[in-house]
Amino acid sequence: MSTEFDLDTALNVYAKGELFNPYPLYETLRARKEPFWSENLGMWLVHGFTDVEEGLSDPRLQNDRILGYERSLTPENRIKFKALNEHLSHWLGFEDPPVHTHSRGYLKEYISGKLAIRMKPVIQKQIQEILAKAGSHSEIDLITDFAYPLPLKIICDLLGIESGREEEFKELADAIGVYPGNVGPILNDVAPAAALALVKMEAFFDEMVVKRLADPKDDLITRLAQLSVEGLLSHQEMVSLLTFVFLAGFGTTLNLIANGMMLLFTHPEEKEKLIAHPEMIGSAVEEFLRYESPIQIVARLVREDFEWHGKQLGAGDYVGLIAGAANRDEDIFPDPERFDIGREPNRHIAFGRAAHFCLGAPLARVEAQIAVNEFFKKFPKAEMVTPVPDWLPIISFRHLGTLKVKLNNEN
Amino acid sequence: MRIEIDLLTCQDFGECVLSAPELFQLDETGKQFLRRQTSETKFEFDVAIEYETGAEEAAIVCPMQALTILH
Ligand code: HEM
Repeated sequence: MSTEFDLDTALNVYAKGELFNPYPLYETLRARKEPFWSENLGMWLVHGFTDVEEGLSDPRLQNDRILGYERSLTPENRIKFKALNEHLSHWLGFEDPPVHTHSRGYLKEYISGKLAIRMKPVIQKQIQEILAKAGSHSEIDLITDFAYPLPLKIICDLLGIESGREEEFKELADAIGVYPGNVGPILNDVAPAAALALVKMEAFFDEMVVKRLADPKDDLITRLAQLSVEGLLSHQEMVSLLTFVFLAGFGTTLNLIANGMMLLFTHPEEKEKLIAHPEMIGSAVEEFLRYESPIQIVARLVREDFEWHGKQLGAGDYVGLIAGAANRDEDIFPDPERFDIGREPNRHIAFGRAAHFCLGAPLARVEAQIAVNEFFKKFPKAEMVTPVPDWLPIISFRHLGTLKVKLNNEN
Repeated sequence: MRIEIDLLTCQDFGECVLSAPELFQLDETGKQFLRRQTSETKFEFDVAIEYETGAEEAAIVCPMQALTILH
């Protein structure tokens, strides 16, 4: 049948990261109601809402995927890049209970709802500065001039990165992040640069930790440094957690803001509704999260052989729980292809579920709510110039390259 | 201040209990206690002034965003 042929083509394009509208593929696979083995990706793909939700809480699917990285490295590289795999193994997103429970507890003390509330005035101040700067131009790129600077400043503030060193820190974190962002033999090629960045990151934090212990501040570096002095965290664990929090919280929030803005520009009626009713911003942000989920795939590794929805999963297999597909499931969301800023209820799974549920969700929500409402308060007549959404070829993130808008600023 | 809980959206995470123990509880089965107060899917109630900060925090931390501050 021709649909089978189309499916193969779609899967090939998908595996390259170039399926810019993945939703028809998701729909086709969701209809099968079973995990789908993708030979190209070397991964089971799971698309239905209840299956993804179940997968996120199933202890037979583990977060520790270090085995997957080690397996892809040559024997020499496995030794050479031991420190890199070790670093990764302490990321919260790679840990399982009981270790995960402890590390998460340490972060949760700080990355809490209170933090999001406390950050509100800081976010307001930052966004006013960003908008004032934008207002001196007639056309801006919403990615580089709006969605990028806010979460960068906020996450660096939360960590305790000194003002003026944000970009330096981001470069290092990104360089490390390239390694876990890949799968397969290519890891041998990307490991050297990541390992070098890790050495520099260690030095960066060594310096910060000394400063913070001498002069404590209300930031995550101070908290974790104190825990490490108390012997509750090793120095490596501390560096891992700080790097991970940055990578978990920066690009994701950037994408939430950017994708939300793009959705409003491409759905002008919803945009006008929000401008007339800014109090709808809460449900609007939830709909951004559902409709273009910044994290499309949440990865797990099969802990032990087991049968799941009719398929035999083998120990060590990768599983991709596709949040982006689950969030368009017609069994859960009536008229799922409709972008509706007043959608209710909206049980989307963009922040995950269960033990690994996103710790930064309150902060990300507050950032996006303030940013989007303040933008339209200042520039209600802004128009999108980029003709079609410029999705980057990355399979696991919904990430726009550029989003040019004319501000049509009258004042 | 009034607060509304959408019991259909609420998945009994219990985060609200940590932020505002005066307003929210889970029962012995781990379910949102307020479920017992009504058969409706939505339930709203007044928040005393001293608990407003806790209520605001609960609304922000709720993973499912099942709480709405009605003012
Ligand atoms: C729109 C923005 C965001 C999205 C879509 C998002 C999404 C997610 C998802 C899907 C997970 C679960 C991963 C898994 O189950 O393995 C997660 C975990 C996590 N997120 Fe977020 N996140 C966002 C923003 C943030 C921010 C701003 C922070 C930090 C301030 C943050 C910190 C974390 C942490 C620490 C975890 C790990 C939790 C754990 O493994 O126990 N996230 N996030």
